[in-house]
Amino acid sequence: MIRPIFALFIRSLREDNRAKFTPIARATLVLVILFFIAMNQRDFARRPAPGLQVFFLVMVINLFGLVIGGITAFCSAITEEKEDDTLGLLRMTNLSPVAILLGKGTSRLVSGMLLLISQVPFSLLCVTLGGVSAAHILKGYEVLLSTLFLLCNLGLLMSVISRKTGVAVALTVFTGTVLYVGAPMAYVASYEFRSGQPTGPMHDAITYLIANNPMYQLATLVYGSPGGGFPAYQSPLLFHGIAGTVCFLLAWALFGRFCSGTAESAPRKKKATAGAKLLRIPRPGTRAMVWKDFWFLTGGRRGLIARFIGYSVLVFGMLSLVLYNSNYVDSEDVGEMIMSFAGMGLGVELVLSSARIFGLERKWLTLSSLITMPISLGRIARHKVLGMLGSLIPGLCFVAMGAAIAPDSVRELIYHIAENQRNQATLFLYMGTHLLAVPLLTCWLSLKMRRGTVAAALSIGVLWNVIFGVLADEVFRSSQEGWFMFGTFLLVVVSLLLARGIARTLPLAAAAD
Amino acid sequence: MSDSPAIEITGLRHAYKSHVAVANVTFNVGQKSIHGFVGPNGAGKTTTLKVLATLLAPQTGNVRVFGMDIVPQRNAVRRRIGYMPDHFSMYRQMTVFEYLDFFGAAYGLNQKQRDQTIGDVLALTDMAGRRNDYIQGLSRGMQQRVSLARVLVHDPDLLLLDEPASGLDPRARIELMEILQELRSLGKTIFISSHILSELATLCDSVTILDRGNVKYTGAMRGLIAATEGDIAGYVFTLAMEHAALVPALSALPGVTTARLLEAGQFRYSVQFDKTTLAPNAILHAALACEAPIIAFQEEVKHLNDAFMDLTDPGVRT
Repeated sequence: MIRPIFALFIRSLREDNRAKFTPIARATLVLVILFFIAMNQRDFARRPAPGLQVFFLVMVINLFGLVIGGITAFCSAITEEKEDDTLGLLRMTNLSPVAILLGKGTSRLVSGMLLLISQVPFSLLCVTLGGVSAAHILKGYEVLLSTLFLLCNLGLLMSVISRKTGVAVALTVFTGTVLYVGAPMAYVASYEFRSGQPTGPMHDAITYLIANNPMYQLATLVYGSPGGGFPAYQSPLLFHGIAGTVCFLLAWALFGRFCSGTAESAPRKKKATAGAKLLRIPRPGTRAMVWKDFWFLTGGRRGLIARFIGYSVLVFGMLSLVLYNSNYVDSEDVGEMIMSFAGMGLGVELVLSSARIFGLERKWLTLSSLITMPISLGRIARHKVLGMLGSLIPGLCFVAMGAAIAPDSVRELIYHIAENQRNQATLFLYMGTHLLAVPLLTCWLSLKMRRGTVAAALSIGVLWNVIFGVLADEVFRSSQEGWFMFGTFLLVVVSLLLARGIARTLPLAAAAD
Repeated sequence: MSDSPAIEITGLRHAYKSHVAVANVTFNVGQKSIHGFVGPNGAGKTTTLKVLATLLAPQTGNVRVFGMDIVPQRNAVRRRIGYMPDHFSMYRQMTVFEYLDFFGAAYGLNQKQRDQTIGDVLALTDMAGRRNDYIQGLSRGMQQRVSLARVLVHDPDLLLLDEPASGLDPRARIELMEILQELRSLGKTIFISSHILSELATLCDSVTILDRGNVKYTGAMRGLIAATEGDIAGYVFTLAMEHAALVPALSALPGVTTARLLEAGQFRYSVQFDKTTLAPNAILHAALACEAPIIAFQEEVKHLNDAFMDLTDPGVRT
């Protein structure tokens, strides 16, 4: 069994070695660490323990990148074989299910580990800034590596039970959210915790999950335990090791059930169902591309209904949690919260939609059919964007609802931006330009990369803002207004370049189909 | 419709970085004909087809479709061509009708025109009974028919088909060829690529053979064998028993290029000679002179595949 496992493992290492992205990612992370150290070098006098802060920042960026990149990489381990119809070929070889899982999983795990380990010597330089010891740094990487192990096996499990990568990603995100975000929220929401009353097994479970939350572990490692019933730092190895191993064993056990074959279904015919009239797809009109993207890429009316339900659950779920925990909340607070939660959902939806505009056409190999129609590239792009905008309607409705409930907050925001504080206005403008730049970046990347577009775009966006923020804080503190205006200008230029890049790359991507 | 050829390619060259996919391609295709475009894998067929389909701009050379230059008149060309790539390029979550309806609308047909055209193309491709089936549930052969129906939906004059028969079973191949013959009778020009010459032998009026980015032959299908023969003729002797003196006797004749035993058990001998210096009678005379027990003496029949092998070089294309 060892030889087949190594065959897959070595294949993946070779691919990793040939990939242009891997050395770029490693070099970027190292450069970011060196950048932070250089920025903080002159802060010895001004700040206590600058090394600690740099180290914490590096750890948080790593954790973010690890979660975003890891989810994309691990969730596609088996589904990519299913989507390419190559899983059957793998199963016909001498490879047992455990060999396939180990071969596909460990290679990605090792790639991630190498990405982290390659930074350790550079992160150790933080010791020179003071406030952090080598032991702290090694423990920090222990947290990251153990989280990576769990994420790898969780992603692998979801990849086994899902037919498509998107479903595997959604399941992993859901499980991860319950595991890592659910516990702190339950903690905050629980009256018992706040009143300090005696608690039962539920309390212990929540405390245990919080103690093993990587973000919490990093925070307690750097700043110490907050006390007051909050757990102290614990080694992450036991929880993540056991949970990761359980996920792997489950993936192994379920492999035969979910990966036994991809039987072709018999031709399906459309069936009239209850409510069919409401959900019936109309005939395309003069804007055929808008019609296609609305009905078949965003899900049409069915997709709209699903999104309305999703936003309702998100917004009202979060709202009820906050209301349960608060003594007094007025309508303005409720409106602001609805706007915030719906705005976050809208942001995620915007990035996902941008990745799908051309990404799905590439995946379905339909770009060449679109490009060879007698329609200009500009018109194709416009109509595709219009078709995708339909998916944003539910989120926009919730934002509008929030604004209607909290008119004073909106008025106040506009007043601040327009009249009062130019500093806020420039910051708002800078953040607003992201709504243009990030979707364009995602869209451009979707023409360049087959997988991991959203993760790459978000990582680039976060990295950009961290560096931009550090420079604003450290170098341009006296002229932040001008710095944010410069940032806005830069983002507009980048957006224009990306739009041009999309127009140039689109025909090439179509020809490469 | 003008009298210009359906396709005119002159000195086409296209390279992907340092790799030259198409080195020097020149040929014409007449209107209302079926033209085969044949070559081994990696010969440059798909690149040439992508240039014709306006997906790639020619780096050098001139490409015209119905007299229109494909670069400045790209949109006019696109209205008159239907391109079917060598892979399934489909929205598999649509039904057959929705798929064709979308492309009809995108090409600017109104609803009435679409109803009429979709009915026609579904009847032509024998898919009328499947109009409400989801594409993802169709077999490969049926998906290929839907692809062909999609290409026809805007009634193009020129069909560019990239290896449409690959992956189809023998029955589906034959049925596809029948549909293409019917399309020719409807006045369409069909440009079809394949790496199997024999597949196109009965279908095509003319053929272009491409190898390593260069045209090896272009012209009528029936002229292909003659073109590969040149001045060399080939004859075959069938003897009653093995006759060791025959090969030396034939080899000694001036103008004979090769003389060899073909199949040992059946006592068949092949002889190739320059027909400008030697007549078949002289060959027969020499064989009789060495007292070979001749049963039959006949001209060697060259097959299309032999012609193809003669025209293309051995080895892997990169």
